[in-house]
Order: sequence, then C-alpha cells, then structure tokens
Amino acid sequence: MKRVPETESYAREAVRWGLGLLGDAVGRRRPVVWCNVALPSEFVYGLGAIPVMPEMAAGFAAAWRGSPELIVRAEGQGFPADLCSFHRCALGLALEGWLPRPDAVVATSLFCDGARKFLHHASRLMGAPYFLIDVPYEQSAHAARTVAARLQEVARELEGTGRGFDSRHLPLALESSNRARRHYLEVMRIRRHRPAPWRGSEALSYASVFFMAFGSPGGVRVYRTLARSLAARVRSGRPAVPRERWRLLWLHFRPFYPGQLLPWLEVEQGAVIAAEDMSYLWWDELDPDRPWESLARKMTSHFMWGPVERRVEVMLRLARDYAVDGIVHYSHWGCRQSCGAVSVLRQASARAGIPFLNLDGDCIDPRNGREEQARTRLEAFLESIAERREVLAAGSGD
Amino acid sequence: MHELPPAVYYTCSYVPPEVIWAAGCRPVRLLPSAPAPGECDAFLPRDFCPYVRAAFWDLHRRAPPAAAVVLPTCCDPMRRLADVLRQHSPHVPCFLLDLPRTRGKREEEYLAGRLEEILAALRALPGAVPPEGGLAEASRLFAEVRHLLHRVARTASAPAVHRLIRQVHAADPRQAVASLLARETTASGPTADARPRVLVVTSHPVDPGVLEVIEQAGARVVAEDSCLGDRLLTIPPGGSTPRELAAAYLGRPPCPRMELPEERLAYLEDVARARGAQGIIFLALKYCDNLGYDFPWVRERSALPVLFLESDYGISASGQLLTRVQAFVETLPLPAGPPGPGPE
Repeated sequence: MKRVPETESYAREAVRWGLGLLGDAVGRRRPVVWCNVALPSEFVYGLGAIPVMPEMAAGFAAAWRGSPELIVRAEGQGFPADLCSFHRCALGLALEGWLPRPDAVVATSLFCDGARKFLHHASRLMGAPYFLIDVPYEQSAHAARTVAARLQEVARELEGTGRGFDSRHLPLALESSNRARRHYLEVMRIRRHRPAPWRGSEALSYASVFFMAFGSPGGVRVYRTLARSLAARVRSGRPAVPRERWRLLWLHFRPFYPGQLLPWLEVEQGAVIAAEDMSYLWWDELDPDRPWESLARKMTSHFMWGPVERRVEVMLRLARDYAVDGIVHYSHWGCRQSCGAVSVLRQASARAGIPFLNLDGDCIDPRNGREEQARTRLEAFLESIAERREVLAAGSGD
Repeated sequence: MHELPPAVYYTCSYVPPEVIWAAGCRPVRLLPSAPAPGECDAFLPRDFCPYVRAAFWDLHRRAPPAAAVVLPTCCDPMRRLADVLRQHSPHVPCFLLDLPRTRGKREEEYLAGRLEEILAALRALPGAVPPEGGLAEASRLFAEVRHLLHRVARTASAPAVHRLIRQVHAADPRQAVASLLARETTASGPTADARPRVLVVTSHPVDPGVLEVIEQAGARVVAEDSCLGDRLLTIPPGGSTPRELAAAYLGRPPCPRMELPEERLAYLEDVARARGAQGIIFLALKYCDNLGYDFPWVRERSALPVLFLESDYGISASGQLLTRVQAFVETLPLPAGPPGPGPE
C-alpha cells in the first residue's frame, strides 16, 4: 500500500474536520449558528453548536468560481456594489439557501460594520433570531466584564430557545482550544525557519480552519498534524518554495478565486509569504473555569479592534520575528477598516526601515481582482527590495 | 479682549454638543465646504467615505488648528479617521467617543461613562472655562435650540431649515436661541402645496444645495432623515447628568449605524405618514456601509415608491440628480391636502 506523504496529512485532517462539520450542520445533528469570523468559535462549540461563517463560505464560493453570480444575486436585492464582496457573496449564499440553515445568528461588532449588518439581513432571510455582541472599543477590564456579561446573556437566551443549545460544553471547548493553541504556537514558531517551510498563500487558504476550528477536537488534530508536517519539512530540508529569495509579510486576506498571482509571487519570484497578520494568534490561554471572562478577553484583546497602533505593533513584531524583506497590504474592495489604516501602516513600516506596498484588489470577486496590475506593482516592489538589499550590503562593506 | 472659548469640532449627531459646551468649549459641527482633493489619497483611500475624507482634509489643513475634535466610533471610516489624525495631524487633539450600537440600561451606563471622560478631557483644554450651570444648563440651552428649530421646521421648507440648522450649529447656543426667537413663526400648519411630497433619507450632512435641486425637480421635501435633519431635532431634552444625556441620545430615532432596523423603519414610516410623504428619495453616500445596508430594509418595508440615488459629499453631478428626481417625481401622485406637522 502506498504510503501517504506526511506533508499532506494536515490537509487530510482539515478536510475531515471541515466535511464533518458540514455534515453535522446539514444533518442537523447539532444546532447551527451563523456568525462572523470575529466571534470566538469556542463560544459556539461551547453551546454544543456548530459555527457556520458565511464570510468563509464566500471564500469557498470564490475558489470554485461561483462568487460573481452570488454577488449579482445580492446586488439584485438592493445591496450596493461598493459593499465588501465577502458580505455581498455571503448574502448571495443566504438568498440562494445554499448554507445549512441557522438556528441562530450571532454577530459581534468586531472588526467591521459590514459583518454585523449583513448578518442582521441574513437572520431576517433565514427566519432565525439575531444576537449582537457589541464590543467596547477600549481594551480594559471594564470592557472585558461588559462583553463577558453579554456573552453569558446571549448564551442563556440561546439555551432558552429550545433548539438544543447547552453551555455545559464550554469547559471542554476551551480545553480543546487550548490544546489546539499550543500546537498552533508551535506552527508559528516553526514558520520562522529560513527558508520558510509553508507558503503564506496556503496558510491563508486555511483561514476558515483558523477562525472556525478552535474549540473542536478537529482543530486539535489539524494543528497537531500541521506542526508535525512542518517540522518534518524543516528536518528534511524541504522548503515551501524551490528558491527563497525574499520573505514577505502579508496583511489582510488573499484573493480566494483561482489565479496566478500568488504562485507567480511565491514560486516563480521566490518571494515567499513568511507570515500573515490574519493568521496571527493573539490571545492568551483560555481558562475553562472562567469561560465567559476568557472569551471576553479574547475578543477585547484583538489587535484589529481599537486604535490602529495595536495592529501596527503586531505588524512590526511579525516583520521582525519572521525576518521579512517587505510588507504587502492587500486592500480588499469594500474593507474600510483595513484599507483606512494603510497610510498609518505605511508610515510605521517606513520608520522601521521596511519596504511597504499597498495592492488594490478583491478577495472574492475576480472581476475586480486587477491581477495584472498587481503583478506589475509587485515586480517593481521586488526590484526595489533587491536594490535596497544591494545598497545595504554595499554600505556594510559586504 | 474677550477670548472665545476653544472651538471643539465634532462629526456626528450622536456627539452631544451639550458636553462640549458644559466643558467650557465652543461646539462646532464639522461641515467641510468641499470634498477632499486628490492629495488626500496619501492619507485615506479614494474608495472611502467622502465625508470622512473631507473632514480629515479640513482638520489637517485648518489654520489655526482646531482646539480639539470629538469623533464617535460610529463607523469604520470614522474610527480610521481618528487613527489617521493621530498619526498625521498630531497637532489636533482627538477624543474618541465610543458609542453603543443598541440601547438599554447597560448601554446608557456605558455611554454616560464615556461622556464623563470626554467632559473631563475637554475641561483640561487651554482656555476652557466651564460656564455656570454646568451640564444641566447646557442641556436646557440645546434642548431649547432644537425645540425652536422644530417649530420653524413646521412651516419653512426643508432646504431653508437645513441651512438654518447649519448656521445654528456654528453659533453660541444662547445666540442661536435669540435669533430663532426673533424669527417670525406662524401658529398655523404648513401651507398647501401642489408638489408631490418626498422624504429624503440619508446618513451624512447632506449639502443643502442637493435638497434645493430636489425641490427644483418638482418635489417638496417634507422631511429629511439625516445627520443634520429631522433626526437631530428629535433628540429629547437631556437632563442634568451624563446618564440622563446618554439616555436621551440613545433614545432618539436611530440612525443607520445603530443595530435597530425595526425601530428605524417604524420611525421612517411614522414620519412619512405624518408628513404625507408620497415617495422616498434614498440618497446613498458612496462607500457608506451603514447606509448601504439600510437601503434593502427601506425598499422592502416601505409602501411608498423609493428612488435610490448615489451621491458624493457636496453637490456634484447636480444635472444628473435633477433629471433622475424629475423622472421619479412624475411617477408620484399629487398630494390631497397639506402635509402634517410631523411627529413630536
């Protein structure tokens, strides 16, 4: 029997987890909660339910080239074309009825207006009750207490719906999350290796696992296997790309539809995405004995909420830890919260002496992807990094 | 020479000017006269709220600089405006007012705490001299301004009321009260008018020229649901404490940024019915997500025909606006009687 290459085992675990989750949701073996990516999945698993994140489903729709039609469907219902395409596509999915029907919709004000707004519409379309976890903008003990109280309140209301929600699953969900977290931190540590053992474009394709798997046993398996796979690559000298010339930090998500931009960037140009801010694990270990407070701290401590200085700090830390040569911000169409910060991110990068490039594009709608323009700009960016490296080398007498 | 109190600018009708006044400063609603130029692209993206871009450019270039600005966390662009100002215009002290997205006792308590923080911070500004009477007197003054504006709104045209609101928001509230009292107001209701009546729904401080173009196209604007329109006039009197003020502001008819679509739709239906509106002109500011998500609710729930118009900040493309409104107005029936005074 042919031996399955170890490096594919994490992919197998991810598929097993994802399809298992989908099967449970479609088969209604557990209550289904639609939520945005910023809601801790541990909260949903902790209620004995299954998280379905329509924003992530939009990514899958884009990967299978189905997003344009879904976006047009949403626009036909009056949703303007300048709204985020993740959300327009997600609304299209809801209008078509292609996602497992929710028993409840739980939104949080993290990280953007569009997420809670589209979920409110989705709740109406699906006939499911809507709950909002409004997160204060400050990072304080008071904010954490406010959110903890609200989480508990929403949990009680969900349990009161009679649809099978049960918060007695919480301690187990948090323990699972912590185990997955330890493996994920190992993944993050291994990824610092030069040359990089994992392409960032692939890491970003695992965004749905990152946002939806913590709190489930499947999440533990995926990250345990991933850590082992990457460690094996490092031991056996199998880098992510044949010849790593540059290391980049990628900010925000990637185009999820099929295209040549990222393979060209990472494989042909050797500019591997060594790290991404969207895959950065920011939270402390959760306390199963204090679940509400723990989950509240996970939410209020997110670096994409509050003053942009938090995001700058993470950006610079990642740039240093992963020894990047440049930073690329992918300005996804309709994403005000991220794109509005670009001038600040750029300035901070400049002060740190790290070249910065802002690329306009669209993660979900290939009609708005501007791939050729992005390639041209990346080419110029890589040339400028190369020149900078030569100047620095000449200056240091190398 | 009598020194004017420091001018503190604010960008949203959820920021209580009462607090700014009570701190001993002069509240000024930031209403840039023009959209931001292309140079602003270096600071904020082009596909971004045009009002926020204009506000940034105004504050960044204003000379002398504003004593301070109070920005609410009302939307993603406004939160980023605070960040960008802090980084690129550090000479403009910026205070952030965190606004809840729903309402209730907990939200009132939270907002009250934030208002107390803003009050304390503004009191510390150079030149700020808190007036006698504190917040109670400030609440009384601004409540009177709104009451008088509401009275004027019963008989004057929407563009005229809008211009008046803009003037009043740059003035000392005591002077605003005096000038409003001096205006002639009739005791009778609005006059009969053969033009079809429309309710204008939007989010930002719309340019009064836009309302004039709509009326030029043959409609009568009987109500304006905007940041500087009727929604502003419906704020109940604020009381003497931050908690009472928070309750008043959260208790007003919600704007699109709140997560209260049922209450918002009920309010719009009430206004439309009370004013005898026969159509709705939905003026969608480009790149405004909160308003963009408002439109499908309004379109679905309204019994009235709705015209969707995309707009920029200011009054660009007025010819196109005129043509589209004219076509819409021609589909509306003529009014049967005079419009009502509107909800209290």
